[in-house]
Amino acid sequence: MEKLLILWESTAIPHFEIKQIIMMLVGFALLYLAIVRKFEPLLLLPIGFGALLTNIPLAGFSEAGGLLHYIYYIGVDTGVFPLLIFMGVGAMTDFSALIANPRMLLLGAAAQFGIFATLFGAILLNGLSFFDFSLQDASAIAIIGGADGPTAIFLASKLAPELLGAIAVAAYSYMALVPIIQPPIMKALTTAEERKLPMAQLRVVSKKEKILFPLAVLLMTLIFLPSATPLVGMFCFGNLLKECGVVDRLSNTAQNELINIVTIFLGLAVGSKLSADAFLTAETLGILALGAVAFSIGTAAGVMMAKLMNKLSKDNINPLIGAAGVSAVPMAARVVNKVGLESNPHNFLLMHAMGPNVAGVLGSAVAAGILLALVGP
Amino acid sequence: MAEQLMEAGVLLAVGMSVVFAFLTLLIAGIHLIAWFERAFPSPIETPSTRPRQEPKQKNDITEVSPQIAAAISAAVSTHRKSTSK
Repeated sequence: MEKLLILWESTAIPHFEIKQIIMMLVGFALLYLAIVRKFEPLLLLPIGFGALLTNIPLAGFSEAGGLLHYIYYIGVDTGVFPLLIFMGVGAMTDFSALIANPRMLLLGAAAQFGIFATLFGAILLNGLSFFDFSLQDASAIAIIGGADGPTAIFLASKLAPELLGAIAVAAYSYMALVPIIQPPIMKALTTAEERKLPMAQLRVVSKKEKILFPLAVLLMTLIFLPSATPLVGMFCFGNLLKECGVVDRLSNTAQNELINIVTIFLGLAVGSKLSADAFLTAETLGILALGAVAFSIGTAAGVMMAKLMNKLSKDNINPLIGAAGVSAVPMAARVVNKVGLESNPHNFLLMHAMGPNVAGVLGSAVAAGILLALVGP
Repeated sequence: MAEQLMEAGVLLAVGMSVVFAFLTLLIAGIHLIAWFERAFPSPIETPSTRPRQEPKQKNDITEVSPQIAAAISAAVSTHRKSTSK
């Protein structure tokens, strides 16, 4: 009988807490979103599975000595994984649309308004009695509006590690929801005439310009905003690997094998932060709400900026492309293209939207650098 | 609370200004690069198209370059002639 009791004690059943079961259901929900609904499956699947593993009683995946504990410690706590992902993203990014039409950088800048406005909003939420966000927490939450997963994880790991799980899940969920969140905002802020505007064809960009571009970005960042160099530097490094044309092997590794390996570990590590104590709080709801707000304001600011530029410039600028300023490459650009085609079936905006889209990546990295410099530890 | 709001407001103003200033400078930088490109229209342009195509051919093992194909067919035909005699 005693032996039976010991055996019973060693199963998970008597050790389950209701909170852990809820968190495992959250993990299953993420798996469902990834597998059935195909929402950012590359990240939500490892995150969901990590959430399952970390909430298994007795296994201790996320305690000292557990696998996920070390993966988190090595890769996320140090900020290494998001930076490696950023290098891979750099190696996959083609800047020619932006180099051909550099004014698009202004759209990438305008869309960052979502970040800073949300920062303000998070502090306002403190007025409600059950929230208590510090300025660091608010900054880490607001960066969700940058619509850039690695940037959000990087900043959260530096400013508010205890909120990282919720922030990462919110960031990737909203990126997956871009096709649902953005179109209503884009349509509300533009007229049918504006949506039909065709844009002039982009010029051809030479190889030399493409090689000089990442070097110029790096040079400017290290002079004016050194706190953004981890993100921007790795991004530029990856891009130079791709554009220089002499290290195709390294470039291929950065944009395939390496980024895939790191994605697996990053997802698991983020999932390990979805423990009941950290996730089942009022703050998580606040983070999800603020993330959506940040995203919407960013989209709106981008569109409004594009309308302004269209008024001021000689060339047509279709205001829709402003919405692509919230990075989320390449989903946001595809959404712009789709909404544009609905108004004018002959107007392909994809290439034009790629400009603000990659500008948004730079913009949110710069915004992260500013937040690190101003509220960082 | 009010103090925090002030701080957040300052962050909003400073942050947006710096983002805009930085990216505007970058616009100037890109124009500078483009000007540089126009001022010294690189002779790179012709070779730049070549090395891009070459690695593709190297990767494709099944494709044989025309010179090698010609050499093989010449060798085969001489071999056939020599054996048919």
